[in-house]
This record gives sequence, C-alpha cells and structure tokens, in this order.
Amino acid sequence: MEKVRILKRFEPRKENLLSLLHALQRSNPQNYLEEEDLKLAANYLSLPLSFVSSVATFYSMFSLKPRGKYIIRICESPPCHLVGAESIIDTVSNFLGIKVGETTPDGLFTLELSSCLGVCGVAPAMMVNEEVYGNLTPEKVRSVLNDLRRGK
Amino acid sequence: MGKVRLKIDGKEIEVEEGKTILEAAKEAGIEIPTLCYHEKLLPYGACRMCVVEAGPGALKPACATYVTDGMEVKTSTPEIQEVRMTVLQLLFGERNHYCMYCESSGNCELQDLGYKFGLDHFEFPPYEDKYPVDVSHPYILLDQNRCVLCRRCARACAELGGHFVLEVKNRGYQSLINIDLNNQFAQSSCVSCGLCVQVCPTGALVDKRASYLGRKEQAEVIKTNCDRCPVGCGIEVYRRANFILKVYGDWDSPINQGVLCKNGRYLPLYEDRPRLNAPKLKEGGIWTQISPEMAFKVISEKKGAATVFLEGSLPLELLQAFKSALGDRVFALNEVNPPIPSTATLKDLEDADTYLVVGVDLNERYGVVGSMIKRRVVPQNARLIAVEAGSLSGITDFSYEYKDIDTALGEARKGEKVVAVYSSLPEGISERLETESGFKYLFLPYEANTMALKELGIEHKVPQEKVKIYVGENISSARSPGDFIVAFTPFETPELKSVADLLIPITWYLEDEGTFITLEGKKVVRQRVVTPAEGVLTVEEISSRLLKI
Repeated sequence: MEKVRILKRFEPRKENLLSLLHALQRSNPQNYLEEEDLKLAANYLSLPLSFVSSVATFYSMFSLKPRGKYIIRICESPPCHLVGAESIIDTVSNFLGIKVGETTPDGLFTLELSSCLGVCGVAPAMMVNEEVYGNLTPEKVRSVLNDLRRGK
Repeated sequence: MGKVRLKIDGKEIEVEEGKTILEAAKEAGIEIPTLCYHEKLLPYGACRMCVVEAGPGALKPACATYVTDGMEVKTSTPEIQEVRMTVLQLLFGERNHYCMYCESSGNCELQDLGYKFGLDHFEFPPYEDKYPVDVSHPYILLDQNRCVLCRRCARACAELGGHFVLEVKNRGYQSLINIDLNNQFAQSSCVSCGLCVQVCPTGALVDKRASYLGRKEQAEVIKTNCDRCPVGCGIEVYRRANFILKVYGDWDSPINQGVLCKNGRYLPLYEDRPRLNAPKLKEGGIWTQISPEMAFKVISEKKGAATVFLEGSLPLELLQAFKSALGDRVFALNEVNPPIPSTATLKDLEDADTYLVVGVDLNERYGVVGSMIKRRVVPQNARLIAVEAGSLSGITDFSYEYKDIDTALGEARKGEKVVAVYSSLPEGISERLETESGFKYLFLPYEANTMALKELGIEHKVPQEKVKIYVGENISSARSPGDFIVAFTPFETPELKSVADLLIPITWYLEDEGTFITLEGKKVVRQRVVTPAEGVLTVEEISSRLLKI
C-alpha cells in the first residue's frame, strides 16, 4: 500500500510527526488528511490519537476536509492589509464564488488566508500551492486565476 | 539542592531552587490568583491570571516562571491588577458564562475570580456562537460553551490518568476540547476515571448524577478509603443528608494521589440491584419476612452442619466475626493465594523501565494501577509488555498471547527494572514467570480484602456441603436436593432467590465502617458515610448475634 511506503520513509520517532503528516497530505489528490492517515501516523509513531488529532487541527497548513487542486493562500498580515489585501480577498471570493475556507464545486480551487508570506516588499501577496504572486491588483488576480483555470 | 534568595512584595524570602514564583509566594503567605494552574499538574501558563512583575520586560506568569537568585517580584501593582482584570473580562466575554444556569455556580473558580475582582459588568459584548455539548457519556457531561480552555482536563487525562483521551483541537477562539479523533465521549477510548471532571474549574465538565443536587458548601466532604479493589485509594465522599452526591479522589492520599477509576468513582453510585432490607425465609416456595432473631435461630439450629463461604469484598471485622463463631468451617468463596507472592510495592511502579502485565486488564479492574503504568508508557518513559492484558495491549507494540510467553519474557528481560503485574494466572504461566531472577513481582489480589482473608488464615474451598452459608455481594450457588442455603447479602437478586432458603441483609459500600488490607499489606479504614436502611444488619449487629449462636 502506498501509504505504508510513505510511513517507512520516516523513522518512527515522535519528532517526525509533522513531516509525516505533510507527506501523507501531499500524497492525497485532494490535499487533505483523512481520518485513516491520522490513525496510521499515531500507530506508526506510537502516539495517542488525541495528540495527533490536536497537532493536525492546530496547524493551518493541514486540512481535514477535501481541498482543491490549487490552494490559494492570501496574506492577511498588516503590510498586505494596509495596501489592500481585503479587496484581493473579495476579488478572489467573488471570482470563484466561494468564501474563505471553501472549495469550488469543480474541485479546482480552495481559498485560505495566511499569515505573513515573507514578501512584504511586493505586498499585497498570495501563494498558490508553492508559487508566490506579489504586487496584486484585482485585474492581476483575475488573470492569474483564469490562467490556472485554463491549465496554463 | 541549593537555596535561592529573592524578594516578593518587599519581603525577603529563601526557597529551594527549582520552585516557581507561585510556589515561593505561597510559602511566604502571599496569594496570587490562578485559574489554569493545578497543584498536581505541570505548569502550563495558559490563562495569564497569575502574571507578576519579575524583572524587566513583559509580565511573567508566576505559575511557570522559576525563581532565580536576587529576583525581585511584585505581585499586585495597579498595572498587574489591570492586566488580570482584562484577562478576566476577556475570559467572561468568550462563550457562555451566565452563571445562573450553570451547575457549577457557587463552586466555580472562574466565578470566584469574578467576585474577587469585583466584576460587575461584561466589558466586552458577550459571545453568541454556540459550541457543541456532548451528553453521550454515561457519567460525564461536556459543555464546550462553559470551557475556558485551561486544558486542566486534557493535562490530567494525560499526566495523571495516563489515558491521553482528551486534547485540544483547532486554535485560537475556535479551540475545543477534543476526544480521541474528534469523537463523542461514547465512542471514545475514555475509561471513565472522572479526573477531568474533578479538575475542571468551571461548568464545562460536570458529573451528570450529582448535577443540581447540591454544591460543595451544602455537602459534607468525608475523607476515607475506597473498598472496591485492593488498591485502597483515598477518596473524598460528598454527602448531603443521607445521600452520596459524588466521589472524588483524595489529592492527599499517598496511595493514589487523587487518581481514581470507574469502579471507585462511579459504579457503586449507579448500583441498581434490588436491596434486601429484612431477613427473609423461604418455606414451601414462599418467601416470608422474618425477624433477625428468627433468622439467627435458624442459623443456630443448622450450625452443626453448616459451612461458611466468605467473599473477599467484606471488611476484616465481619470476616473475623464469622471466623471466631464457626472456626474451622469458615472458607473463602474465591481464590486467596497469589500465584507468585508480591515482592514489589506501588512505589516500584514509579521508576520501573519495563512493565510486564500478564492476564489482567488494568483498565477494567485495577484502574489506578493502570494509570500508574500508562502515564509512563505512553510518553515512552517505560515499555509495556502486555500478555493477554485486554484493552491495555492497544498502547504497546509488545502485545502477546499466552502461547508466546517465552517471547514476552525475552522482551521483558531487556529492561533493567522490570515489574511483573498480574492477578490470577493460568497453569503453566506462573511457573514460567516465577523463575525470573531480575524481576519484581506485584500481585493484584482478587478481591478488595483478599489480603485480610489471607491474614486470618482462611483458605479457599469449592462449596460442596449440604448446608452452606454464603456471605458477600456477588453470590451465586448451585443447588442440589436437600441443600439448605443461607446468604448474608446486600442484594436480593432473582438468581439468588431461586437457590437460597434464607436471606439476611448486610451493609454495603459506605454504609459501614470496616478495615481493609491493601495489596501492599497496609490497613486502611472505610468509614461509614451513610446510614443503612432500617432492617439492614450492621457488621456490629451481626458480630454480636454470631457470638450467641
């Protein structure tokens, strides 16, 4: 089974919990952790279920419900906020027809918020999966999303 | 350990190194308000009620800051009081803290702080979100709306109980108490030890049965010892009128230090077998109520042929009374002798590196011993080798069946301080186990007072006689033609009534004072907390009547 192969890449030590959960989440086409993943991790690392569940729900990078192919994380820290992050959030939300935390029905996009992405020089900024986009305007955001939708 | 000198509120004091500011202040007689802090739990620093000024920089939590030499601490400047007040207002502003509908009103640490700080209004608009309430547990109610997220429950569940069932999920204002993998209590691995309820400072976790029946102030709290198993835990019994509200673990008890199990905290209070309230005699298939005099007259007539079988759940005084009345015709109903005698005490569980638990599910029968082991095994401070240990096998990679006893022993031998824990053992297993030279052995006696039977030299025997007198709470007997069966028992169950000829009511649980000998051989006293119903014969009455037969 593929999940067992993922587990075996890590030594069964408590410290590996976060990396292990990330690996399991990445392996899921819907970008989330299933209940089974948490049980596997708890069992493999000899940790209480309650502990693993607590870690997985604390960190915002983990999700326990299915997410889209593209995860959009818009920075909501003060530098971005001051230069209009809010209108960027509204633009994306209206363009995709979803609220923060939701996924589009076609399973393509999930909209999330994020703390500082570390690129305040090009605020307002957002991240789509591993890619960072800065100096955002409503027009730029719409074009980025259009490109992604067309699979560019 | 060295000493540290510091000043608290201008008072020069000297305390041992490694103490927190809170502990040092307490020694100096200076009170600092707390909420998430609990004496028996590790410092956590979540609520910030205990902030103090200690050197430059931000205010520090007194519960989680350790004293250093020359430290100058101020515990109640106007600035500190203002910060505490804000913290308190924030706590009251979040979730539902309308005290008048809360079971814990009058017995709530949050409410107490509110009064202490003179809170007379909500500074922030009270929160209107609804959080889940879990009523699925048979004994416990969890209302997240009353929770202040101090995490005492989760910490106690892990640090003291060793169960690791409760945790906190999510973050920030969305944080909730989490049970296993987001379960309801009923579907969880909760073993119903009740520690979470005992440590909860608010009305988030409450005892279902005791709810709305009376506050602590209206109850008397009686310290005594539990008689449900041979561990002999210290308990605090909350009594109102002649009714037991609830049972808490006694934090000061050297045996259990506050920890209890389902058997000690809940089960006896939920006992629903019908009580026997007067002696009853069966003649021609009909039960008639008779006087105690009549009952003992019958026993006196049968005395010559009678054999007595005593349960190990009875107090020493009652065992003694039967022994002195009927001498060598007194036997134990159940097994008495250990398969392997004990060489360890509960203290040895504290620093063992390997536990070999054989043939007993500690979660079910000796919950507090289970906690002592689990709280070291789950955080991986010690290993558990479980051989047919029921639900305990779920927390270890070393779980075996009896047929693999040799592999299990081999695994256990890798430890340096090994304690074997067992109750009854099947044939063949005890022989394999007892030859280990490096192990310590902890025998868990079969019943609460098995050790007293042993001390009185009462041996176990399978009942075969025609005239049998049983004494205990879980009596079952076969019946052959010509038998005469007497039962001294608190319960008149249909099963017992179908085989017995004479029933005599005895006291049960906290209705009578009595001595119990724990698994460590210590004598502990179970006190009388409630008066038994009229017609039930006390240990004293039975003893004096037995002398005359």
